[in-house]
Amino acid sequence: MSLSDSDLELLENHLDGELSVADEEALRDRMNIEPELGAMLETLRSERDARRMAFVSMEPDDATVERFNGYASREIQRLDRESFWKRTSKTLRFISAAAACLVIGFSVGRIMNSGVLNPKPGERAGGINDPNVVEVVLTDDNGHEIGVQRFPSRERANEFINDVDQWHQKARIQQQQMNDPNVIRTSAPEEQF
Amino acid sequence: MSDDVKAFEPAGAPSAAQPVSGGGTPSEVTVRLFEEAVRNHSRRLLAIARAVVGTRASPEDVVQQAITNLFQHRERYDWHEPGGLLKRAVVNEALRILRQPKMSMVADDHPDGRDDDDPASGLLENETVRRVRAAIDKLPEHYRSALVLCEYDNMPYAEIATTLGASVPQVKTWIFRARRQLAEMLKDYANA
Repeated sequence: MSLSDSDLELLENHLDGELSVADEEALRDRMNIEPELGAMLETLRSERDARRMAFVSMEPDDATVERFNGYASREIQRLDRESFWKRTSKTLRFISAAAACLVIGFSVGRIMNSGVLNPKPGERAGGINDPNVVEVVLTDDNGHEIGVQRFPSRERANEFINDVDQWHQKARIQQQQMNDPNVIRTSAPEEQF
Repeated sequence: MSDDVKAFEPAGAPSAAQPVSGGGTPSEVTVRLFEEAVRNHSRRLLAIARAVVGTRASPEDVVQQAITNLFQHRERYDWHEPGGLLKRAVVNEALRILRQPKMSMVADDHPDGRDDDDPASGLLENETVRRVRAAIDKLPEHYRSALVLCEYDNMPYAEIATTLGASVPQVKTWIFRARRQLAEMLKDYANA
């Protein structure tokens, strides 16, 4: 019995249930007049049964299925727990990052406002509470405080005080000379070139 | 065609969803449905994996890996109709494993058919099964995959084409050639 490939394909498609209604009818008509088609259909059916038996024999036994189901279930639970912790840690990371940003922002604001980076006039970068800082109070002739000058050490403060004293002395002498009637000035100081 | 093989839709798409038994968050429901799907289909999935990989890998490993891959993206799918999706994942995983260059052989669990068969009734049957299995194992991997989905799982050609990422005519050709090659390989045995 020998049929063409297209006839074999037709029969296989028929067994697979993939023929259209029209093709099914045409095949049935042909099988009525071509007995070899019917015989081949039976051969194909028995081949198919043998293959099906082979495929069914590949199914695992109940014990294997049970074992596999148990293992798969445990694995699914493990993956689920893992993904839960992944999601949770992602959320925690986000919250921690937001908190860290707030803390950093707050700290930067505090530092800026405390004047460490931007000292007020007359203040030293080391801070007003630095024990090494020496403050020199400047007063006017009436003893009113007009300012405070800070120095990193006592020596620098003394130098400043000495400089100010010398300057005052010079200024006082000049003032006395200006007021002395025995001194004759040739021209006013601003007229001297 | 098998009733459990139906088109699946991504989660969120309108579908004739069945009511979910039991409560819980959507995530818990998905996990429960997933577990149920695996339990209901595991026997067929293992058989399909065995048919595609033969003795070149353990079917348990293939199915387990396919399940793990699917579980990572479980939120994308509708688990009320998971049969087609699971089979597709298993076939693809099996083909991926076959494409790997090095493969160790695993022991055939039932080389002579089912262990629980009655020995007296099945000597000839077992011999036939053994020969057919050996012949199936010699087929090219795509022929084998298409054939097992068609003849064991009764999948329509269109669904096999989707599963294997091929066209319907291509699938028809693979299945036809697989059958002819098997018939040719078993010709002597059948005549005897």
